[in-house]
Amino acid sequence: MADPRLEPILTVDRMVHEPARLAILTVLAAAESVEFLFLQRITGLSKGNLSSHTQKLEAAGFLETLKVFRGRIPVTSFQITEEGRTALQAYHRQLRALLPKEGKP
Amino acid sequence: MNASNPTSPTPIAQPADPEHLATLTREYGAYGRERSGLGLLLGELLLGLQTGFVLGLQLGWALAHRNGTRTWMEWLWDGKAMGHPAFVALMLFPPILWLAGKEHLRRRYLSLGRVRIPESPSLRHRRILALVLMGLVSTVVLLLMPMAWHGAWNSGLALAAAGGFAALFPLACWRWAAPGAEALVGLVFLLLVSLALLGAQGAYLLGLATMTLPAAFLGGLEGLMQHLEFKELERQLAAGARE
Repeated sequence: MADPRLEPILTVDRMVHEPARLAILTVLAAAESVEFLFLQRITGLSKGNLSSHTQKLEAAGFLETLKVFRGRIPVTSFQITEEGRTALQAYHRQLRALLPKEGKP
Repeated sequence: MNASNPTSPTPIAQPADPEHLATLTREYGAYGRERSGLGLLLGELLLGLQTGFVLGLQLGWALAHRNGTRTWMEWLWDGKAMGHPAFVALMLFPPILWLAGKEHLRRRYLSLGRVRIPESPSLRHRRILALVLMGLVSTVVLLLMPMAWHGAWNSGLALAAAGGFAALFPLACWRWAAPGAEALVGLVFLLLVSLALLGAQGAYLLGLATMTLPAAFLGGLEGLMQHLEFKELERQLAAGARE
């Protein structure tokens, strides 16, 4: 049986905890909607990697994909859902709780 | 404004400071809503040029009257040329060029992909205030039109242009101009163009034109600063948002 003191660490939402997905959700939380190109630029992920992570986040209900045509060019945008925002906030709270208090190792 | 090739970014090992990512996103998104950089500079430049033109005509007219000489300036302001289609086009061209130019520049600024940021309540209030002020000016201009007609300073074309401009320009600014310095550019364009097309002369137009020049200079500087800040933002984005 795991040490109960480890429980806060073990229960961290892994969907959010993964660095690339954390970056994606953080960017989306700061905006109403963000285009694929900007998300790729700011996170530094490759197209395939970014697609894979956004699909996982969409499957988890954390973001929505919006596809529109600008002229003849298809443009993909993303926006965070309420569920995604709540998960990100919960993750931040969990992480802050895990950090050592001021002055203690 | 061109960044390095976005198809070959560096994969991130771990996310940069999340707050830094969020700040970069908000600052970049601001260029699609409340900041316009070179768009503001363009507006102030065109406004300055048009103001200088109107001011020059006014001074020429005043000098001709003082000297008792009949010059082309006097001819211009005696109603022979003010209703001329070329004069009307010259008055309407700068504000339309500004709106078209700044929209083009806005798209260039967002060439790394568009980001829509939520409109803050204070920003919305400022947008509404700008629309109300422009609406008031438009109403005054439209009310002045019958007087201008009887004044016979200009042509039906100039009056129709003044009325159309006063009615439509505030709506165009509501759609395309950002609150703050840009809204002020729109307001002064509205005043200047409407008054000139209505055939206003003397202290009102002179006063407006004199105040506009230093304000346009300061606004232009602000636009330039915004552009330089964007270049720095672009540099950070090109570095993959890593610190």
